[in-house]
Amino acid sequence: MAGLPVAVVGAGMIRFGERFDLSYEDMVVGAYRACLDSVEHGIDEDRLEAAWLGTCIGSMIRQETVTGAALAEPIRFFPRPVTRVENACCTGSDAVRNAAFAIAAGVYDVVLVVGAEKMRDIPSRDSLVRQTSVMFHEWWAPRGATAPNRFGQFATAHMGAYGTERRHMAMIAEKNHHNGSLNPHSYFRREVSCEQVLAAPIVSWPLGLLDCCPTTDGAAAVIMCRADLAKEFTANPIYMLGSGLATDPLISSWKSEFTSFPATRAAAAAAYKMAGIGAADVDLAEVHDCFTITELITYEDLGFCDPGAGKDWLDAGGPMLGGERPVNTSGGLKAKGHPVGATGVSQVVELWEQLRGEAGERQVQDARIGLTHNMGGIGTIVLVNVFGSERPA
Amino acid sequence: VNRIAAYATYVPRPALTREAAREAWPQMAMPGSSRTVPSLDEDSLTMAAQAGLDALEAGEIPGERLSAVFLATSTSPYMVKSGAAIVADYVNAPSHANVTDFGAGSHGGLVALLSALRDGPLAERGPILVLATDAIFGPANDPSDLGFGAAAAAFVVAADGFAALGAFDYGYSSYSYSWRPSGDSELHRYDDERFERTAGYGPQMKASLKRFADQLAREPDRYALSLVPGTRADTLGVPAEKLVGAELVAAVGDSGCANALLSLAVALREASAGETIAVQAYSSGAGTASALIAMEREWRAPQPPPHERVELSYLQYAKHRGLLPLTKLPSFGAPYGASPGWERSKHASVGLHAGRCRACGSLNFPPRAYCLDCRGQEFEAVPLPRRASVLTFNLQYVVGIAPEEAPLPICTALVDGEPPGRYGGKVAALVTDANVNEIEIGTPVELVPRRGDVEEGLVKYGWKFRPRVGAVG
Repeated sequence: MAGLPVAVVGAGMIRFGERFDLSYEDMVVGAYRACLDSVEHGIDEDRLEAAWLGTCIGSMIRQETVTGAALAEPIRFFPRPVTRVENACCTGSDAVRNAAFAIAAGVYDVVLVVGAEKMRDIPSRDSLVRQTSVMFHEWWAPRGATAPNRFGQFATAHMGAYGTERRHMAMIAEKNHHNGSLNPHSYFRREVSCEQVLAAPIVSWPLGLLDCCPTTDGAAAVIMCRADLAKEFTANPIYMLGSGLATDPLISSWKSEFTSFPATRAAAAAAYKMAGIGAADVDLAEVHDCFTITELITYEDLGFCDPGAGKDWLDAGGPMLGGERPVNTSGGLKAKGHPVGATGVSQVVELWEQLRGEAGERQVQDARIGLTHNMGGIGTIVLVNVFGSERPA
Repeated sequence: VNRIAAYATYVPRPALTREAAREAWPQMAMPGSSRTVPSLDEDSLTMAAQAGLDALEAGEIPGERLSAVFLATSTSPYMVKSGAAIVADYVNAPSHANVTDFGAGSHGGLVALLSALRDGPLAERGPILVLATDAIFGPANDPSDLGFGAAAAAFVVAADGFAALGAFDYGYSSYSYSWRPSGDSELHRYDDERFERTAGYGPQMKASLKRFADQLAREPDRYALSLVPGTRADTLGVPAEKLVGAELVAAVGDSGCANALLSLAVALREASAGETIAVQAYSSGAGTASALIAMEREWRAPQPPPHERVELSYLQYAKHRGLLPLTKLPSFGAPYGASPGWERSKHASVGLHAGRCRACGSLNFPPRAYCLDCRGQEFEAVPLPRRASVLTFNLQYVVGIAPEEAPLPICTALVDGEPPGRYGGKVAALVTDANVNEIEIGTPVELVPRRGDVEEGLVKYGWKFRPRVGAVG
């Protein structure tokens, strides 16, 4: 990590899912308390000097301008500074990144990051379908575009170029549902078989219903601090080693290719460089499986396998629990859920548990380095954060 | 002297056949073999735009050179708002063009063409695009509905061309057999054919043809006349072998303003140099217009192979003509942006304006300040090529519209224009008028003008892809 070393000393979340029982504020408070509870030696809340709030869809569904006060008020944080971050599906990861940068820059010693999203206060059909009408850009949205539409076009192209089959995408859904069934934070805690995935109703061919992540309510929180202060709070902090953020054209028809996300390659290269590692050093990854095809292409773009070889790496069991490099041990967006602003923060919660050896049945043996990966738009903006269990030199 | 320099016609694919009509209305006989109807995402203006673009392309005339766009229709989606201006957007007419609407009766198409052919000073400024288009319906339970149809014709009139105007004649009569009241979508008529027989279409056409013939030095070689399906040449006093277009009218139906001009296009295609064509159009409640067109030299419009007809059941026809209510079509613009964003982007989104980078040649669509490929900042404004091939696609089963509004699955394609840059030269659009199972990576497609959704009564016009007939992938 550039600048001063940064540690994570607490991480917690509420169970993601259909949380009709909780308001946005309830979820923020729930994640905050879970995070405080995870700090082994306890923490005086006054030590938190500043906070970052990641919320994306909130402003659309709540029809209000979300500010940092949406965090400051429910946890009685005022008058301390809270920056609200929105960067599509990278929102949570970017809140983490910016909080880390404030520490690395020496501005603050201890900070809070909360990601929260209330997506299910409208009928599920609306929350998916309305994205046709609210996707960012008058030249992006038109012509019947939805998220499954655009990712479906990448799936078609990948199938055409490399012989990837729907079966391979189904294997990803099966894997992530299996992992999710082991995660108490997960929205879907049930297995699905490849056969079920393939037989599910088609949403946007070649993507079926079980290739798509759910719209989800949820919140997650982490506490980060200067690495040299970390042992005050816990004997087993994890450390942020690197971060990379990259962009690509917003208008989906302007992509330079349809079988890969160049922004993932660029973000990963930057994050690996900052962390001083290569793809081979990564023990596990939480990646952006908004659709199964996204995860498959991401294997290739993160360098876990060669371009076009995602299907072979799957067939070889590479991303499975117990495989070469387990991917989405939490269940991923697919099973754990995808409350947009909370997703990137919740990925850190999974690494917090994995890198400290506390992931139970999902535990990856000897996990030392993990990464989180989020993608906003259709590979339009990608963020990779790298974490490790050992304090960097 | 102004001349016809190019032309093209457009007939929508969906058609109601005599057999399908009989299933719904056993007691009513369709006078022709079928009648055409616009697709769910078409209207009189998109049909005119398609014909206009094809005519300009056939004549190799850039829309930017036009001095005028004349549009005749009796079935514009608007009571107040220029349909000609909407088509002018599609063809990229310059902002100083004379953009004028004709219509209110079915001889409006020929009146517009005569206005163009007789306006020498205007044609000196640049070519004139004349469009005639209609999609006509009668009351569903009236046999007249089965005799109407939908089509568009486009003519480019310029100082140089291949067919010139000779004699012409206008006739006027307020005698009316059919009419459409304001706010009504169906053409009404007297349920008494004596009105037509004694003083309407037949007698007026006959009288004016005789008056017109008196001006002519010799008998015309061909007759392109306003016809209704089943009209016999002898009832108009015209030799049967010289009457053109009867076959087309029997398949299309009476397409109002486009009617006589569809036949004129047939005649122009068949005629040799030196021949003359009498074209005459009739409008109930208005009168007639007649013109003699002299073929000075042959000009063969590049004719694309005809698109396959889609035969509708009467239930589908009822949806197409609005008897069963449908909700919105997919939007072409982001609804959040509402009108300001839509108006701002119209130049590029409806006019298909692209910027070709002067440094690297990449086609930037919509135009950008910095080239997507090389960051160049100088561009040449060019129309986006209308033909392309599918880069990738998907079939959409879940969208923000009800299934009836656009048959599912919806196919969305990304195509590369020519020449493609690494980033530039690509467009995303819905596919229309296609069997979606035939769409593959590499399928040749063309952009066609279509309607999007309607907001505040304003139609959002845009483009979709349609597989190119006869093209090899």
